[in-house]
Amino acid sequence: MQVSKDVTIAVVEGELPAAQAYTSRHGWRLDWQPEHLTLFADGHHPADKSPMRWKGDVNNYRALPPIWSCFHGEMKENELVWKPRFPKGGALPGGAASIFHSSGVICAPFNRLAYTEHSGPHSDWGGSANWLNVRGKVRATTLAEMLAQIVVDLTCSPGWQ
Amino acid sequence: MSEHAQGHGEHHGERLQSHADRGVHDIRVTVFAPSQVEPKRFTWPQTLKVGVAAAEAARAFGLDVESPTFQKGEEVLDREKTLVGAHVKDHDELELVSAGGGV
Repeated sequence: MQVSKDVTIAVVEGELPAAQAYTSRHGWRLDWQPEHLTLFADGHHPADKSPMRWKGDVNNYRALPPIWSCFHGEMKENELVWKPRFPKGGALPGGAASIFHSSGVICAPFNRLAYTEHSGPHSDWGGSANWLNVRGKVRATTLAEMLAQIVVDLTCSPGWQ
Repeated sequence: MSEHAQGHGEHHGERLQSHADRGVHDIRVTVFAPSQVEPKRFTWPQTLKVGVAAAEAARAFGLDVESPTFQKGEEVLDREKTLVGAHVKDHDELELVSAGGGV
């Protein structure tokens, strides 16, 4: 399923004001790079305050959910260097499981990497093109809601894997 | 029971009186929803459960939120606690989020 780059850019830029409002309320910074169809969210892991970056690859959005990946920032020779690293999961109040899977992916319908056809664990959600219809799990159908869910689950994360 | 603080002046005043008579005070909060830019304001009895208030906020925003709850600062509130039990105070700003979980 293909979505033209122009359509994806228009859709993302329609969602950006709310996403920017949310992230600024919570101390995160967004960097939208339309030429690469990539959205970066920079902030800190609340457990140790170390730099954290989330990258959302939004090609074919919203026919497919974004591809989310996480990076840990380390200072090397006075420069912040980003390396792939993933937060540990911690149960939410009420006992719901974290979206941070031990395999290093966001295990929620809004992450393309959660689905079997993209090497993820889920064959039971009807495929990544069905992401807007998956029920019974956390539901985030806009970029702002996805970022909010990441921030929410980080509040319960004890640190890094 | 709860309601929008906006546009319900007379009824709102009657309800405040009623709750106050029973020793139940109301809490006025501002609720943000991540997908929307403008917040909404609500007035709820302090003994209302977080999950019930969050569900009402979700309806007011027209959102379908799985297990809705609130985030206050860096804390995600327990849906089963009352607003006062979750330390929600008058004039707090809350974020409507989901405690639906993943995996």
